Amino acid sequence: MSKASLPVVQTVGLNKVFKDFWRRPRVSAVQNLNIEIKPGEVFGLLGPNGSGKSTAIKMLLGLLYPTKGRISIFGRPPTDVAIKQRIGYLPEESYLYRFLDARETLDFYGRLFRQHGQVRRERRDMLLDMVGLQHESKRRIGEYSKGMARRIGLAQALINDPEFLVLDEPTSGLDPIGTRQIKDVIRRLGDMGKTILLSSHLLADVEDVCDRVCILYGGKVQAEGTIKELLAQKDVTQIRADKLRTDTIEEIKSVVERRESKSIEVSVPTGRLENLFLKIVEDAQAAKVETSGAGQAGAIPEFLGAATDDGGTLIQSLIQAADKEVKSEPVPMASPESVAPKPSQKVLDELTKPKQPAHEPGQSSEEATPSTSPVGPTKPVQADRSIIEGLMGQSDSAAEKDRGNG
Amino acid sequence: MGSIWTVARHTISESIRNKVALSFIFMLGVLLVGLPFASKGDNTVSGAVQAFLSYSVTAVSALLSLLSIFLAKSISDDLSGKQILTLMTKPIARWKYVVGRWFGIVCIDTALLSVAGLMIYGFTMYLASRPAQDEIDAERLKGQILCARHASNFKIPDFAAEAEAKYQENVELGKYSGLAEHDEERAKNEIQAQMIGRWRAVWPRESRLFEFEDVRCDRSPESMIHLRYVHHVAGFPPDEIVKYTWIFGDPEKGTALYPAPRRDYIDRIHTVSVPADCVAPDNTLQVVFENLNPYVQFGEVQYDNTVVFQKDDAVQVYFQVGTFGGNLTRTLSLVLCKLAFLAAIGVAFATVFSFPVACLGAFSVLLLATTKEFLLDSVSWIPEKGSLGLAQFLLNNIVRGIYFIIPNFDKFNSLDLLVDGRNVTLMWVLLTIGSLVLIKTTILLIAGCLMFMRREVDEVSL
Repeated sequence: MSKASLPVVQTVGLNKVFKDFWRRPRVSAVQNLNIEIKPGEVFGLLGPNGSGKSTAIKMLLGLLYPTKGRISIFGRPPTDVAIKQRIGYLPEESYLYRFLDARETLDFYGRLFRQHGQVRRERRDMLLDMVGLQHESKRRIGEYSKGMARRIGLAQALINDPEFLVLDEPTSGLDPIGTRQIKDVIRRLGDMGKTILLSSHLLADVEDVCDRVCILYGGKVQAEGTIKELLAQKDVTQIRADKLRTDTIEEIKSVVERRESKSIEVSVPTGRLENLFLKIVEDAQAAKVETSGAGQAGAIPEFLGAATDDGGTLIQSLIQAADKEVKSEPVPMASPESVAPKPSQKVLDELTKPKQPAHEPGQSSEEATPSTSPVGPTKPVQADRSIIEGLMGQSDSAAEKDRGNG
Repeated sequence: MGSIWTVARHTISESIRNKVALSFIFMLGVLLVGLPFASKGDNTVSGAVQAFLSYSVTAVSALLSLLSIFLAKSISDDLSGKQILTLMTKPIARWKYVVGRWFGIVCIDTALLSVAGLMIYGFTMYLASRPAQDEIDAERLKGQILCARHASNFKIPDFAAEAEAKYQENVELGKYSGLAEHDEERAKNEIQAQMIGRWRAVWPRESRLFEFEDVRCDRSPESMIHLRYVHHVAGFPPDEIVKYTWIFGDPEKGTALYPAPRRDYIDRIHTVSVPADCVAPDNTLQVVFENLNPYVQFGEVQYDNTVVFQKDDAVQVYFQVGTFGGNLTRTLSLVLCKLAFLAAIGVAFATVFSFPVACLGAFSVLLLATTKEFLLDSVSWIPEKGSLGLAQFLLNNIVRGIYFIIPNFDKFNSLDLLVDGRNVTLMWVLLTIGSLVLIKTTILLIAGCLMFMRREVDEVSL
């Protein structure tokens, strides 16, 4: 087998039995796990709570030792320190140092990768920008909400530009926007050729981003294959079309009944709540509603392999996707490139327009002072919570108006 | 080294941010600022300086010992808080993590000890700058406290030849013929011990020559040497005072001669200071003790006036070889060696146990190390072989086994010397670094690393 085609991860007959204080077997967490993850693959480990996903991941990372079986990561045992240079890991909770702020956290982990000062600082700033924490970077991690902690957790996992990224429940604790952003990051990292192992019990997460999945239950593999293979409904045919006249529909029905002796169901497709929510928030952001907490996610940093000229910021892709998807039922997620390429010009204009210097009555000058630089897609703007609060309160009318206009 | 230093830096930052080190710094500050004003000693300036030195170094050592143990909890915290999961997926070997944590603690100890040392030095100088009670007080402060003096013991004459002759005489007289068991070597040793015992006793109107070697001091008349002695008297004089003269110098080697007549209380430590030009160019010093007490009084021989120098250090000559600052630095270096060992104990325990257990274990070791001499004495009555059964096995093997790794902290305590202005030698410091840090601390760290490398760093709840 050539080196290039070596699987990134290979497990053979992997077992893990947890023992009690007296060394008696207590729980068999993983049983005979055989998986192989190829380079560039986004692999999903799916299963309910307690199915052994996290145990399997921790064995792959050398944090737990298998009771039986063999693991190979990049052809080496997981305890080999050298392979850690090529791995990024986001645990199921962001286990970070509460006394450090976001910058110090990334700095600390960057140092462990022996990154030089300039490189470390650049990466740190780019990652903070990417996860939308640039403006909250001097707050202690202990003060972060769970969602913000997940974001900084993801940033630390990417600090070394890993070839193999392990994400354990990456979207847990995140709001829909955060979830969407993280999923988008995963998709784009996958497109850049990173190998990703994603563990989740949230089916939508896995379905949206994974090339191949493995479903665990009781520590055993229950099913494995590509999403398409596993989800294909071979006994159903779906016809999609732009809005049809009633007589056309009736004619189609009669043709199907006559030829196939089967009845067909005709309905108007509905959009996904996630997309609707995103659209609302984006409109609010365009209207510059005040907020705190995590801001908007920025571009995928260049060091992770993002093209410099693709203009590929997350916000753009989100807007593009939401703009299209709110109008029609989405099919399973494609790569961002396959999403409608035409951005919502109005929203982009709003985002890139310099803020007005005028003060609102009763507003402090500090609050009213706009950002000095144009609000581009890579600039984190406002955080989620107060967007929602704004939407619930005084900004309702403005948001409604924007939506009406949109 | 890069990863070790990164973890060490992180440990330092953590201890400051979590206010552990800060609270100890606060306590140290309060103690060191308060002690100079609370230290009175015997109401002399020299006494106050000695009391301050004694209390401050003890307090700093005790506080930093506690800090070293507490800071090791950072490993337990990483395990219980699961930060270790993120950390151990980075390219850092587990042993480097453990050593990094230990090194961080030692860095904190070093920094705090340095600050404390500077404060102790500053406050000592402040106390010493106050007006002395009298000349003796001033001289004591300058010549016996704020200096580093080397102590040289007198040379005991070799009585082997005389003991041999006496033994032969006894054999000829048939003194051993009637004995069931007779050990020639033992008999000679006993004779020699008796002769040395007699030599240590100076009868009234007798004199005794004490010879010192290797007195490597500045031999100029401006420089002083100090004779420190303690004596007993066979009887108890009514006024508790004995009279005698010390005569310093060797006329045959052309040195100056300094007679020092004395009237001293018995059973106390006394010091006589004379110019250092009484020391011969070959670094030898002769001191003659003349017992001036009457041999015959009221028509009777006064054996009660016999002066006895019982111990080998009953007469010592002191001469300056260094400064107080250097002595303080070396004393604190010995303290740092102990702290490094304690940090290693804490770290080794924390790789296996949760914080309270690790802390308790480390404190137990501290207690055992501090009381080692006493505890070993308490089991010394048990013979190495015999029929005491399990108790004997446990005490001989386990207790002594544990004490193989646990050092005797008393051996590394130079506070008495510092307070007494006696030199804490660099060799002592180097030997302590060798035995305590390079050997015992390293053994502990290796044990900690091995335990940490073998363990799983996560407990998964299903």
